[in-house]
Amino acid sequence: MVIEFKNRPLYILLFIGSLLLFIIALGPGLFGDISISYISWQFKVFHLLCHQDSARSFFINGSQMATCARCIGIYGALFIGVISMPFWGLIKTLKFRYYFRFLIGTIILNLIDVFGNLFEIWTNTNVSRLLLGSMFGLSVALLLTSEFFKKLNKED
Amino acid sequence: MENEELKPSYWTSVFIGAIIIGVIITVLSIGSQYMTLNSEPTGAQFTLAQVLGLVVCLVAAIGGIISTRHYAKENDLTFPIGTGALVGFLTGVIGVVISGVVSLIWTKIIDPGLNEAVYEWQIRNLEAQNLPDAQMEMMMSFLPDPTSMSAFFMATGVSLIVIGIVNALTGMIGAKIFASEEE
Repeated sequence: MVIEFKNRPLYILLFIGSLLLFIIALGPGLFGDISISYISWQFKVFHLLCHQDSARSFFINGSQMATCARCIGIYGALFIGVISMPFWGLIKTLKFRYYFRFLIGTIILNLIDVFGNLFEIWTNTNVSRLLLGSMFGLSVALLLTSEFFKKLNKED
Repeated sequence: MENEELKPSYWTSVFIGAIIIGVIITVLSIGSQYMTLNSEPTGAQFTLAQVLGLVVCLVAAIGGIISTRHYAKENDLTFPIGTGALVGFLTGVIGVVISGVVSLIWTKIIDPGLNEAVYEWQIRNLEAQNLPDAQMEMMMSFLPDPTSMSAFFMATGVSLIVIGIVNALTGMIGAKIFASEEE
């Protein structure tokens, strides 16, 4: 099997960007800093992107992550999705519109989960938030895969 | 729709997206400070201000989508996701700069006591946690001086990078959705 690797500089930037987001989102506990995380620089970085509720976040080394469970799922799965793009490029056979529908589907699922919990129809957990966030992060990586990796036909 | 030679400028789209997220970020950050001041410092890490964040989580990330959609639809053109990433990144960066300038005007001219009031609230909030003296001192050392411009530029600088990256990502998504030819 042959795979075409396109847009290399952009892929490297995407790799570095998603890695940076993931590492920063893991918060000060990743570096063994046990100070209260909400005054850490990592926490300030995500202040405008996430509610950072401690009850809805995971902890590393006793220190709250810089984003909530759903957001760490998004950034973590995005990074995993980006590094596994060559694999997706090899196996994927679906058209763009199906990946787009998957992306929209994960957004709707997350909204249903948020509002279902808000209106006390059910109670979500950090694990369910993480999983649904991960689906969204992965759907973004899947949507972009064909821009970087493409399986070549034998004639190519 | 291949039109590489006569590609129109993307700056109008960048500024439209940047102004939208700049306004959102400013309203969020200044609004959350007033919400903080109107609440009692109970020692809780999750403050009233963050309730606002719960509703608008990730809204600051939509600049890339807005700009790339505007650029593609207004000019009826297709472009690669690299252009989408650039447009999104510029939108995020300019949005943060706009927000920074408005916040600076607000906290230096319109309400000069705001930063200091928030600083005092944070100290009372730390005191409410009944921390040991040594830990309290350490926490205090992390709180930026409210009158310090370097703290302001530091906060704006880190936001520039992260919101720039996130909007570059949404710019790529926007380009893929609104500006790529159907595969």
